[in-house]
Amino acid sequence: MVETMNKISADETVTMPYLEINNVTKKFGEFVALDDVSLTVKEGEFVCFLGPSGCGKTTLLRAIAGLDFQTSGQIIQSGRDISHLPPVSRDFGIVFQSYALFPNLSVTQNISYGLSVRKMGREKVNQRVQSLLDTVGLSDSGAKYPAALSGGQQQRIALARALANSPGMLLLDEPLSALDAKVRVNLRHEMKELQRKLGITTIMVTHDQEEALAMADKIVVMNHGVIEQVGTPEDIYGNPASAYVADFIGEMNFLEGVYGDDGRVGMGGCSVAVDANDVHLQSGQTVTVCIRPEDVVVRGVSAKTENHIDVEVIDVEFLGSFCRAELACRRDGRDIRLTADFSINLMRDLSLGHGEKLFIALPKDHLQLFPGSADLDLGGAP
Amino acid sequence: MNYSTTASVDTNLAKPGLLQRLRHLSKDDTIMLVGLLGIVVSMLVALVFPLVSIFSKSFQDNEGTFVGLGNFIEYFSSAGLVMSIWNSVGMALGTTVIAGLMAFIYAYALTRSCMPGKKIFRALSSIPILAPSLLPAISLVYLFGNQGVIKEFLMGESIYGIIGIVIGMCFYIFPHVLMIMVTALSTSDARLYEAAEVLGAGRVRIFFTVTLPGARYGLISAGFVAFTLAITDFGIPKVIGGNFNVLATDIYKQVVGQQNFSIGAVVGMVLLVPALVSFAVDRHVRKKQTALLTARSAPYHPKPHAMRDGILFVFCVAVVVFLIGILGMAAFSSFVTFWPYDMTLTLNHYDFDAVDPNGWASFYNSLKMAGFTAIIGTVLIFTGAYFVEKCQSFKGLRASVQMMAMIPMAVPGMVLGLAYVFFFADGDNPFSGIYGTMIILVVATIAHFYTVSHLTLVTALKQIDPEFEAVSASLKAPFYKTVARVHFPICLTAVSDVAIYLFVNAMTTVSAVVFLYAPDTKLASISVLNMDDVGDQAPAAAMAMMIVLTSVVVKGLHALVSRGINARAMAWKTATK
Repeated sequence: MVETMNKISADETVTMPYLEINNVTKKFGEFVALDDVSLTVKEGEFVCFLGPSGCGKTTLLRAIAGLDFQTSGQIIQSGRDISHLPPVSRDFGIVFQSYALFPNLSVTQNISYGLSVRKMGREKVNQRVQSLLDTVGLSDSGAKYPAALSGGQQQRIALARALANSPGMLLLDEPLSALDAKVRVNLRHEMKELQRKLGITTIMVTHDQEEALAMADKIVVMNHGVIEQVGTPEDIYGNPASAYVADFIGEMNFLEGVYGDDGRVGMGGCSVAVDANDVHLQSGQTVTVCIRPEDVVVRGVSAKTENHIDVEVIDVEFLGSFCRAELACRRDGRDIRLTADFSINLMRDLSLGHGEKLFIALPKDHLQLFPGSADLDLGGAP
Repeated sequence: MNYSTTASVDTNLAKPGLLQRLRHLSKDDTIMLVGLLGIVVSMLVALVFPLVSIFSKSFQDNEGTFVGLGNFIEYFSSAGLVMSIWNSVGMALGTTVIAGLMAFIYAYALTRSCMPGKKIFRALSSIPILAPSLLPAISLVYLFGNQGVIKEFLMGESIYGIIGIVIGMCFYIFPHVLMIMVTALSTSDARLYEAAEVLGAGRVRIFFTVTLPGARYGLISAGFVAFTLAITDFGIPKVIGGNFNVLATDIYKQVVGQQNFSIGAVVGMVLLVPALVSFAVDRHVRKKQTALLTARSAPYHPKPHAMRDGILFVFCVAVVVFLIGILGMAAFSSFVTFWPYDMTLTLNHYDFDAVDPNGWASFYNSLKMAGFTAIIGTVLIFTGAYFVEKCQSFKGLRASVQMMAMIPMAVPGMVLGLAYVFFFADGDNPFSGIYGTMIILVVATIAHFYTVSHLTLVTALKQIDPEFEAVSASLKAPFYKTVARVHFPICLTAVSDVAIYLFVNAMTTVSAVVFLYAPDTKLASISVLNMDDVGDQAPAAAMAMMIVLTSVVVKGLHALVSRGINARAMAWKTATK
């Protein structure tokens, strides 16, 4: 008994959230930018707010920073209610898409901007700046002005400046969006590495799903001011909680059908077996079956394979390392269309091409099932 | 959840939100709030309240009893006073057409030709800005007056009257109109000209189908600015108007001459009409102008064309001769012993103490006033502009500052000055203590020239990354530290431009301060007016030249300082990668 109690309290300290967002709502006049959002972030976690522009991700970040106050709701950072504190009294460092480096100050002056010479002494400040410069790999750039640095270098300096005060939390507002594709990939790798090394709780806002998948420990998918799903990148990708998430993250086929008693979904002339244990469906209900293009199976599929469909290749798009094929299952009156990703090997082996007819399978355990029709309106109301 | 509960929750949320915000105001926010409130109060006292009092004065008799439209009826039934309206309109229209054409051709030469010496022409065109508007009038008297050097040019017509006023106005207004026209003509898209040429349009056709339409908003704006400047200027008609009465001189006569404040207020209201119309048109036109040019437009580069360039060059030389001639005449006459009988040169006229009871003191007063205006004005206007542009909270306060900052543009100096008389001379006013002191002159001058300075600084601040405030807050630096270390240095060029603009205008202005000076705070420009009034034309010219000299020196210093600023800014602006 005593043992279990100890265990519970130990667990609690471990899982005690660093940042707690409780029922935060933000309105701009009539427009609801955040609608009753609640979320917890663990210490040392890298969290990404992901969503299209206008989904409320930046508003939430700005509320956490105190730059724009929430209309209602509570924000608690490491046990302290910061809901109404101005940004100066909060504990965070921030990096913006625009770098926001002070152009008339040198790199050293920028980084040391928040360090008090009076409290720390000139020597200590210089040491701190140098160690930060080393950390971001720009040891020799202290005397330069921001204009003399490339975009990627400027963003590293902005990161060093944000870390200078050793804040409890790092906020990143689309930090990589202004950079070239190559620089972006390099820098995101380095930032993640640095975050892991420092163990600093980090929240990043991004609209780039690839960035979120690559960097985050936890992704918060947002849409129209509400959180659609919170989970690890694998979770979000593999088990999207809604059709919206499924569509926003990665490529997805949406096939509309009608759920039958037999645990199968009928789509025009063909039907597939689904695993509907997690979704409560009634027979006759319209449902949407989802499958990722890379989960469509071609090799070894015959008329006996479960969930096979006969399709015709409509179009093949060569995308370098793989091909994306547009397939159609022709039935009287209604075509079912879906895309599938085929490796170059597969293409060669099966010599797939335009007009080719073949069997494909939609494996039951890769199918996602959502109630409702497949008419996704990603920009409109939920 | 039903709707009634949601609604009640909403109304409950809004109120505590505001209260909570006030209760949780940070140190920065408190400072900003106090600063904003201070600026709002200053603007109310220095601008809005005086204007309200001149407005209400126009409905009261001299004893302060409400008489409804009585004053207006009295005013409009006086044939002499109504005549002034037509005189003013006619004179202003004439000036607008002549100065407008002159400035258009000059601007066209500067922007669309390959004539030599464009930079020099550009620099010389701003000569009139350095002088009080009284100077061209005095100069014209020497040139075309009864004992004028070249009075035969007028073929018997008198310079005293509309002819003198219009010529003087053309001198005084030229640089202001030119500036707008140059802007209008430089913002042209080369691609349109290429398209027109490819389609086979001739020069004349291109001028009327591409050039003029492209610049039309600027031309409209310039026209209204010219009209307003002409109708509201006081110095030129005062000196050279003779019996040709205009609105601006009427105010002065009614108030200073006859002590008839009520009719003075009515004339002020009448004078406000063209200024307000011009202001509204300008605002409207400006919005349209910006839409014309997109980021993808290519700048137009003129190709040499011997005949066009030659004709334009000759024209520009003529204009410059006119500008330098007027200035030179004033300069020369200030050194002549006794025009036209004793033409030996002397410095006697600069011995102001011998001619005027205030003597040199009024010049030092002007320096002091201009110095205070430049320093206090720049700090105040920068603060206001910063709050308007960069503050996140207190939307209502910021909007009201922005709105009030636009008012001075629409208020002629004479009206502002008279409004100050009504408001500050009132013994019940707690601020009446500043009446008759140097302070009221500084306040009036800052208020008079607020708008352009404010817009200049807002534009400069707009170009600064809006996230700087957020970054500095996250670094635990108070906003004023960032303003001092980042915003101010970045805006230094604009800041120094504003300071100089305020200084030179404070040196040359007559209209607002003519009602407000006391014997011991008399300014140099007023001194010019007074000495001219009593027939001491040569000392008046000499004092006007002192103002010009001061403006030139200050502008020269400014050029040196800006070069220094730019050189330092170059270090961080164009650092090589």
